[in-house]
Amino acid sequence: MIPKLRALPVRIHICLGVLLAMALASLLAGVIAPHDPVTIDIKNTLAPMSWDYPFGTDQLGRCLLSRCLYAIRLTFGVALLIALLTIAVGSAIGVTAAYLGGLADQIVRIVSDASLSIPSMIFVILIVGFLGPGTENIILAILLAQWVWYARVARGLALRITSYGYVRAAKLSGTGPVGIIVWHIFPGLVTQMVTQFTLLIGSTALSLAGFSFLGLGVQPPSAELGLMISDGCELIQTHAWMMFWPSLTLIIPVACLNVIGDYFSDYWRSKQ
Amino acid sequence: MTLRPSYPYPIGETGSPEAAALTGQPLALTGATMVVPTLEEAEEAIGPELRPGQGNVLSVKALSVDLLERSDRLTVVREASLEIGPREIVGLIGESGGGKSVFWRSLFGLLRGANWRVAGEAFLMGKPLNFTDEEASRKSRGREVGIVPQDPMGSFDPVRTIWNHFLETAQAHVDIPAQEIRAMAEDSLAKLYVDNPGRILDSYPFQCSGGTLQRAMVAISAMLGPALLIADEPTTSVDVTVRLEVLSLLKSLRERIGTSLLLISHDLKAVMSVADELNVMYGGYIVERIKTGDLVAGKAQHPYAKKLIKARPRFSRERLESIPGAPPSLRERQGERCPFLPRCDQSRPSCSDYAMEAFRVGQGHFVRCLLAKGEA
Amino acid sequence: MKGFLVKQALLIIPVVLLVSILAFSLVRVFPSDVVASYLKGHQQAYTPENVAMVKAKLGLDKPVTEQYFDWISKAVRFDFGMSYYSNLKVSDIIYAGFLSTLRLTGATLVWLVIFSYLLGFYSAKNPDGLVDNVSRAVAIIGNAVPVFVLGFVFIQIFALWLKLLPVSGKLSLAHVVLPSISLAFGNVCVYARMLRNEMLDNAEKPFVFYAKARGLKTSAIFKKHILGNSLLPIAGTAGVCFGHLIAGTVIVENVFAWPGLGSIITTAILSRNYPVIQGYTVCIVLVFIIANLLSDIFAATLDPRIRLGNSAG
Repeated sequence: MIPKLRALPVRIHICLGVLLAMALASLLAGVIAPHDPVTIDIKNTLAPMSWDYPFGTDQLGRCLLSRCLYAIRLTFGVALLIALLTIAVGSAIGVTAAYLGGLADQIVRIVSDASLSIPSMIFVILIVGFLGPGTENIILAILLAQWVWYARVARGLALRITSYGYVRAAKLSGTGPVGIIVWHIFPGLVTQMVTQFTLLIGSTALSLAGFSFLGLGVQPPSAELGLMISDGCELIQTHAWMMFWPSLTLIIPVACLNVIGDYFSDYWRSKQ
Repeated sequence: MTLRPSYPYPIGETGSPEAAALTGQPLALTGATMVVPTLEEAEEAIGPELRPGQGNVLSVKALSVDLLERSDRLTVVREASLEIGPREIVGLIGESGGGKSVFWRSLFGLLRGANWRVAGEAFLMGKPLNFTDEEASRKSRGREVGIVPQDPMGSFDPVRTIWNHFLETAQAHVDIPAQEIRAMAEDSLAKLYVDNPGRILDSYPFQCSGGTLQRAMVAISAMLGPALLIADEPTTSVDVTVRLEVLSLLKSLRERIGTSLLLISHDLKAVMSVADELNVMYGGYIVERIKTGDLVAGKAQHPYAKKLIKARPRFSRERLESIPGAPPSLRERQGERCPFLPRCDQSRPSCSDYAMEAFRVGQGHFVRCLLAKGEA
Repeated sequence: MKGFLVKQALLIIPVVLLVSILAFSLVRVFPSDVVASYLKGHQQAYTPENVAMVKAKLGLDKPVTEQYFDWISKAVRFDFGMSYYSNLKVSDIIYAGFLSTLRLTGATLVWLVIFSYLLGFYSAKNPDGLVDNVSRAVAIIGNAVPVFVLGFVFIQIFALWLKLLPVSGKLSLAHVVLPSISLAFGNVCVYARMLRNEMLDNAEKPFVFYAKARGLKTSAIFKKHILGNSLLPIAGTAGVCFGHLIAGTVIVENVFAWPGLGSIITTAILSRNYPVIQGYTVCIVLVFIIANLLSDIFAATLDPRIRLGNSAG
């Protein structure tokens, strides 16, 4: 199912390497960050890049490099969490609906069709509109907006799998519903869901950064990439690095995830 | 409106001087009255010096088609010759992969991709066919040669009406107002026993049955009065019950429309019931050319052809004979040797040196097999 | 087909009703928040007398159902009250914002249509060529660049360094160029690739072969058959595409200070301007439902199979 590591093309190796390096760097942020990310140093605001401050400092004198390292944790860590929950919840509901059929299935189908017309970003805006900005609210909002699409995908796959002969045979031979779901339906979903998951982390990270950029998500003084970019944008003319480094920190992992996700989706599609 | 057997002739421009000599008068646009010379009259008009292929609708001489794949040059069709006369029905029989499709497609520039090399000569109504001239091939497609490919349902554009297909075909070749084309289209469909042609014309492909679409394809091909109609596997994608209808329709074409027909199929039984002459293709060679009458009388010479005849299901107690083994793949059948040798149970030691010369065994009967040599 | 459309149109009413109930109730869940917001907007202190006055003014002391009917009876006439922070009617604010956003979306569509087509067509004619591979790379990697970063980079390059185009603020034609390019940028390659794949698939189809066999010229085959069929699936996703565009405007409008719905709702959320939030909610859902309906009609117009149903003649 999973291709051998050596058989993967070069660009996949590069992307995986980059992702691994950045993940490690952020996990070890406590150790390798040259400065504390929240310490305000008014005497040293907007300092250009130097050996002391490799990425320079922001408008409050905080070390940009340290902030970036911690921000990877926040942005991508939260994105990872949301993506996991989205796929888990979405798949669970989709598969259950497909398996149970009847009213439950109809409800899920109507809900997923209805939510197709509203793009997820607007959905998040609407939810945040009523709940108010904040980290927990944005997490909840993104989750609520996104799970439906994955429930739909999971439901479609599950419906197709349950119609296969071997599943019907298993039902007849007395395997309970949990057994069927675990042993037969999930393996069929896994490949698709892994690809979706890879791409989802990237898009969730972008969404999260986007909402934080607007002020609707994570609030200052947290070190979050969207917030940092927003701060940097105001000073782009004179101190471009303030926007440059957080942008790069955001773009590179997402690009790597996209390349990997795209490769795997092609790979598994050609295998069918 | 009198319908008499007509010698086919393209509408609009006059075409080649030879063609004009053959018919004497262009077809009237509504097909109302058609001037019909008999074959003798036509041959008389040409004169005693018959140029190659003259008098024949399609004449293919030693056609070879090669496929260039990376650094290899693979021969798909070898030295295939074919003659189709006016109002004749000729069948081309063979298994899939034997080169039948490549054969007819190469004549009219319908091969996919640019990796083909075509050698040999071919003449349509006396005019030589240029295999590499795109525009010349395009002009003759649909007008001098009507092509009815497989898969009637897939061959129509799903978002356009049947009428649209008639219209664009006509407009690609001649400059006639749309109302006249509509009249021609309805006439053509009526000739093919389609009820209510107007309604069918205004329908979309998904609203029609496969049988109707097939008739429509034949009608489109026939509308411009082609000399030759090529039907590729007409019975394959059709229900068994409709197969008889299709076959009788094809057979009646030469009377109602006057075209010659090249029938390509792997269904020997179907073709035998309709064709005047059969060409059996195997491994890229046309291994036997035989008149249907001779074939039915058991005069087939080539072992493959003989097996094909025997392999037809009949009401008898005998076990159905099948031919053991499988046809050679493209790479396996390179080189000038008998491709049927591995499966042949009548082979002799001298067969391995046999370079596939053709032997004449009778009137219009040719075989590429050493077994025939004795009887030549 | 007509029946299908009628059914869809009828669905609008219950959906909008549902959304309105949600919009109404979610705000009423935190009544003190509403009052605080109102007072802040009108720059008045949060004192018990003021609170009581506001409660009475907004009718918050009435029973919930009565409050809802008051609200809904006004909402059906698109009267959502007054903004907490200005003396403008919410409906006026939203209407103006909608027009501005529509302008931006329209400009973006122009870029999208032109360049997706050009790029897709060229890639289909020269598959696996340089342009094809580059556009593929851009589609994947370009997706990773968030639109706010792109927007600011464009501002920096075109407006500030090169001084070619104005930065932001006004609504003129020159002002719409940069925001619309930013919005279109990432998506052009995606749609171009979709078009390219469709064209290449269609070129292999039997009906194209038959067209060739009938002697049609290549240009005619392309225009009439390949192009028409390639656009079908894209037309089918027109509704979703429109949704994405509107979603993208939220950030782009903030970056370029474009006075459209995106800017309005963001400001409204940050300042807890509930009437605007409610009005926006109801209106935007309506817009999307109508857009989807139009998209379905559009798809049906192009494809007779949808129009006439799949019946065998």
